[in-house]
Amino acid sequence: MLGPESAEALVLRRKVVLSFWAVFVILGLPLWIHTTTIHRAPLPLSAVKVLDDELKDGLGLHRDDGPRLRVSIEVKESCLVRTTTDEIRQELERLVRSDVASPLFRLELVHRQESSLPRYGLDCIASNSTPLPKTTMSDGDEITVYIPTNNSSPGIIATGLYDAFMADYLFFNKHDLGSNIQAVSDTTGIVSTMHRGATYADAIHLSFTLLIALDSSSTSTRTVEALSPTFQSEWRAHAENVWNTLRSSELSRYLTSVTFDTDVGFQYITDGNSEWARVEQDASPDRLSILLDTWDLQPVTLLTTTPNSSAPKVLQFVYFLPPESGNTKPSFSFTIANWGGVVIAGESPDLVAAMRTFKKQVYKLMSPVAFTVNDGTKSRKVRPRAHEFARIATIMNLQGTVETLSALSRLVTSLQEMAVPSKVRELVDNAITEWHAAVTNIQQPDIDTLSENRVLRHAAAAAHYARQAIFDKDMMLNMFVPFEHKIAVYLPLLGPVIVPLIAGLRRIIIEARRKEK
Amino acid sequence: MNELLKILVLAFAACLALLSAGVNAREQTVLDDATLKQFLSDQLGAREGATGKHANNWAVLVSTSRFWFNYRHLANALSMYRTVKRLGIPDSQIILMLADDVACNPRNAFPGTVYNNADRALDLYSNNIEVDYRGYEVTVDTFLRVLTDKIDRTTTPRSKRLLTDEHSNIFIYLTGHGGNEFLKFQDAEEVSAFDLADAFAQMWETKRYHEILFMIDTCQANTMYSKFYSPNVLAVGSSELDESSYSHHADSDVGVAVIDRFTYYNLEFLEKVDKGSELTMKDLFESYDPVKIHSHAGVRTDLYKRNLSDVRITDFFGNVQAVEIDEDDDDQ
Repeated sequence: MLGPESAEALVLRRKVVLSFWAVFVILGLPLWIHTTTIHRAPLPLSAVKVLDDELKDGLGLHRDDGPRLRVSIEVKESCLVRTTTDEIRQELERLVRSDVASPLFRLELVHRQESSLPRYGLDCIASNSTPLPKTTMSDGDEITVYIPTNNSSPGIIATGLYDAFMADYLFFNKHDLGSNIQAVSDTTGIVSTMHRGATYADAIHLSFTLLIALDSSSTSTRTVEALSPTFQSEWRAHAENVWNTLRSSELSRYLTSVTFDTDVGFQYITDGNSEWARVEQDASPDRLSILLDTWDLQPVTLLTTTPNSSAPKVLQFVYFLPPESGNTKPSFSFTIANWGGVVIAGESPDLVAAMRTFKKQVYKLMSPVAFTVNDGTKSRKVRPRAHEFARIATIMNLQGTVETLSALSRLVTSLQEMAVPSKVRELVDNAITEWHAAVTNIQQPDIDTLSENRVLRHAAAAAHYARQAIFDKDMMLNMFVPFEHKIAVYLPLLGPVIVPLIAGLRRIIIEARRKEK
Repeated sequence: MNELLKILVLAFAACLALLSAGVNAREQTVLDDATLKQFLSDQLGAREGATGKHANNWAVLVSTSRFWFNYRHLANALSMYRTVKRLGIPDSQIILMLADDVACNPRNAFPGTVYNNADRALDLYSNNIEVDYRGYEVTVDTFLRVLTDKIDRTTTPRSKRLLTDEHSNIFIYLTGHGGNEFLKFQDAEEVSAFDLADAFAQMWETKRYHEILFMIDTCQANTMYSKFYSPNVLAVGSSELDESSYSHHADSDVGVAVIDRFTYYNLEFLEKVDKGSELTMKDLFESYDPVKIHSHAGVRTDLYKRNLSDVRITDFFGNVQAVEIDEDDDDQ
């Protein structure tokens, strides 16, 4: 048995125990806390809220001479009571508020009487609603609710766009009042229509593909012709021509770049019994949509060997030549949102007509619907112009930025185990900076004379940074570790350390108390 | 001795206190019923587009098991792959993750093939499959990154990304070995029900899905969807808590079980479905027979607002394209 502890040994033991405690407390614990704490960079959540509020307030764009939205509803009812006019007004307000360009508009419904038919209107201002006068009608009357437009003031969006857009959407829904209300309230339909197009992208890649069905049972003249180098080079020449036209059109002001690949332009299928080959029997929309399921047309970018981090958005345009035998149908075409368009050749393949269709499809995919403008004498369809694209895309990008940053705020707040790298903070700050730059420019009275791309670029940059922030690959959630797993890991680690430390300290304390006594 | 005991108890209590703090913080994130309902209502109200219409379909099919004796798990995933392809989802919209390659396993008596039936009528590993993640690429981290798209875009090709949007219906199928609120990956790690729930929450916030059908075939599968709290998620599992899921049958020549019961009876139903079918999810769920499956398949519908009798099978297993016919017009 060991003898009593010497004084030197006692001092040494105390020093050792206290040293271990010092290392544990001063070095060990902070190190453990530092390495196990989830790093969460503070995000400017209040600044994000401010953006949201600014957007809801209309970005400071409302002016007395601001753009007006013209809405025309044709209602055939024997009587229109106050509650119904209330509903129409409320639905129109909601429609405008939820419209992507709502910060640029305000709704004003005024009374007008222009034609021989008595017309009644609603007198109110959307933001400061005054009580509506009671409005009644008699049989055969029509009601037109519209807003005076002002084409002469500078800085106003060409009202033709929304004027005709709204008229086109609402006017041709010639149903009863209930359906008209439904049509007005179907903001989802309108917004989804406007969102059909490609939102602003750094680049758009147009891929034109000539798809030929080879009928193995016979050699058709069309097949032979289509397989000939002459036909194929003609195809490429036409496709390139469309590309050049688009590139030099107003569309180019809306996009950073439009590219076109001349190498991938031709594909064919050899099985005459395939779904594509049977298309001529049934060219219904349902059937055609199924065709795209079975023929998996890979975007051109997938054919590159090097993955492209900033891969452009790809729009596919397919010109399909079905087997010639028995094909007496005219040419047929359809588009698919965010994918592209298909033209199915009729009895006689017409490359020029096909390309014309493709050009229309490009515009259709990148903008709201072609709308009808009533000149009073006739109606005509027009396409939005580049600066109108730009305005729409600007607002969509600004809205997208706010939505994305708000979503990021919610995620970061609710998922406390989610790491937030410092890079994400920088991206959020950049997004907010770009947002303010866009808004500052958009508030300029001479915006139409500015290069819209400047405003659009800032807005797009804001949306881009916001998306980069929320999809940052380092902003991952820490995995959930069950309690029993933590026990199994930490107990064998901490136990052999904690027990001697506590025992040693306890003994020192007891000895100190005894000494005091 | 008493002193030592006291010290040990103190030390154990200290460890428990430290560890419990972390656990409690995480579990408090699970929402109670009333809060969940309000949360869902707020979420759906904020997203006006969450109607019954979707514009495209995607599928994420994952077999998490490694080793030859888990042949059936890969066969499960490949069977689902074949089904969704047959019903129209293209390869570009399918993410197939197979943790092992049984087709080329030296033990495979029929090299280059995978069968899900002892009659070997159908080779699932034909020449027209695209496996996006194979072997050791199939990890929890990869899986969660695919779902949330928090992926290195400089090195990951688009074909390996889930490029969904707010109009996408996603069918997520998981099969492998699991337990109470966890699923094993590669016999080395686990994904918990909490992680999956939070991944779905991130997907919802980033508008990466319209609706999700979550299907899982593992032991105690129903526990994996117990922590979900995001809207528009329809979940179905093969077995309850403390219940195992079983294989259906083995192939004596292959030497192992080739398909699991839950997946087998799902496939039996889905073989009746074609692209134009009007069979609904309610029909599918009503076809589940615990006597045949040997476990109690569960369905969670509280997060899913549509009536199941209105939801077609093809809303998840098939594909849809929003097609607009071009009209002739005079344009400028």
